[in-house]
Amino acid sequence: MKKMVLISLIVGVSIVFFILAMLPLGWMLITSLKGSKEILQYPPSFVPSNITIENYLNLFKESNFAVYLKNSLFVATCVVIITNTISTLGAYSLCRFNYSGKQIITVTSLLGYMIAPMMIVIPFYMVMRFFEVANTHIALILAHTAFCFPFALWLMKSYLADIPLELEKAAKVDGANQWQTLIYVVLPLCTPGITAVSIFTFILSWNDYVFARILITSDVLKTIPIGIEDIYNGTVVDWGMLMAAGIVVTLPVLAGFIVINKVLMKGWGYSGLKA
Amino acid sequence: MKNALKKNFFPIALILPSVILIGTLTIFPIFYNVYLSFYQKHAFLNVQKFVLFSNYTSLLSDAEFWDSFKNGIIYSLSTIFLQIALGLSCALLLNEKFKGRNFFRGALLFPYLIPTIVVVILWKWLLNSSYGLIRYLMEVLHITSEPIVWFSEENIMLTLILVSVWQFFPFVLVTILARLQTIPEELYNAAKVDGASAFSRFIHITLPQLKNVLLTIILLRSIWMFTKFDTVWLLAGSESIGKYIQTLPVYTFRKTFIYLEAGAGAALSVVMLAILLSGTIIYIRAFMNKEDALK
Repeated sequence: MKKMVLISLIVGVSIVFFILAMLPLGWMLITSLKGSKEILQYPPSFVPSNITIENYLNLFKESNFAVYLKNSLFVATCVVIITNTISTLGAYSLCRFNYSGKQIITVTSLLGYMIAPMMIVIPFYMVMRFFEVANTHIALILAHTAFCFPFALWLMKSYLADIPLELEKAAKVDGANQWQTLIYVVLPLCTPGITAVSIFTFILSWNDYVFARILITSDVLKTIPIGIEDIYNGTVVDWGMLMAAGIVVTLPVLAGFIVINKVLMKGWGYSGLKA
Repeated sequence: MKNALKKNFFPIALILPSVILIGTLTIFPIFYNVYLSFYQKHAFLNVQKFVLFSNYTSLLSDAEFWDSFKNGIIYSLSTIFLQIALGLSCALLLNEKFKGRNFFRGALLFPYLIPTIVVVILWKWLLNSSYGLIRYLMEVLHITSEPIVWFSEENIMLTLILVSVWQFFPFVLVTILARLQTIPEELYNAAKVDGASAFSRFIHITLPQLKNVLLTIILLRSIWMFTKFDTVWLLAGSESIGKYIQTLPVYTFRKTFIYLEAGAGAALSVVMLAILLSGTIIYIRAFMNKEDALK
């Protein structure tokens, strides 16, 4: 009996928190499906009287949103590929070998993780302008890599540390050299680590505002956060269109995330997790 | 020397790209930042003047600097406290076994994953004084009769804190939850057998186990909230009420990209970095053992 009360209480409070977190997003979805007149009604309606997708259509017709999506996707993907490759190799080196300078690198990567983007924005901007590559995707990719990489290295190192040494020893006994051991034995086992790093890096790059705002000035190169901000700062605030933009940007992230939930939970508490 | 290089070729080859990356993209900019701070440099034009410490000394008498610093402290402390409170409670709840638990876990992470611009625009819409859902809910629940102007001088800091807590508490939640999951069931069972109440089990088992995670989270969130730019700037930083929530990162941004004084902006970044580093060192010395800190 007591247990029942406790469980109902827990479920009840969980539902409250759930509502707190999700209500805004649900409202974003509902608003995006309303016509412009109905959006500005007060008291607001919870169920749209006419569900319409005109906001979504307008979003793609009246603005360059499709281009912004493509740009964000391109930049984020490049950052993920670069970060994953270099961090996996580097993490393996840090994990399995000893050499002077190893400690410095580890500590530096940790510090790099803590130092927020704000610390390197100004010099980054100045250097990019100096080489006249500021308004390019390359500059943005480098910028995102700058603040994603230290954490990626740290995370991969933790994952690799969990891979048992015996497998590599067995490979060496079978005559594999260091490169072969790395590529054929270790890398396939890295999948959870690579997945976690990819997700973190993708989200960080996808959501970046500061570097994109400062570096990119041409409309065709803008990424989503900047594109949405500029839509918001347009002549009249079109709430329906903005809510539609929010949904388009958010739903894939949500879907992808719920699917990979388990892997991510393992990543966050990599020290021996029992789900 | 040659032998050492030969022996270590493989690991060095592997770590070299990482070192180059961190060196050029993180370390170099920090040093260049310091270098820039000794100049009065125009952000766009190639005009500069060596002034050594004058960018720093002028900060001491700069009222806007101290205001921003103060706002930053208020902002970080309030948001951290609330994030931890909310995150910890949710984590404790989600640690219990019940149906649909995994779904809740995924869903509650949500606010953290959305781009800040979407968070801000969504909340501007929710808190809209004329059409916002929040206004409607507060009236229906009879909390207030007059609509609250969330984006006013008096309320803007509160609004900023609430939006920030909503956006970032999932990070605390997930981190604490992951750690909670690793606490062995036996500890609780043994305590139950000895007759300990739920509250007592929390104080004597859960909290000590969480101590390191909590200390680390508090440190990390403090650093990140103090240097948070996006949420503050996008909520109201560029408008007139912005001065009531201007934090150091926002001041740095405005100084560099609106007043076009890149040298002064660089000095501000260096000062922020110094504050963070000293704060971190003091914190770690006071509260954590070195081994735990490096985990």
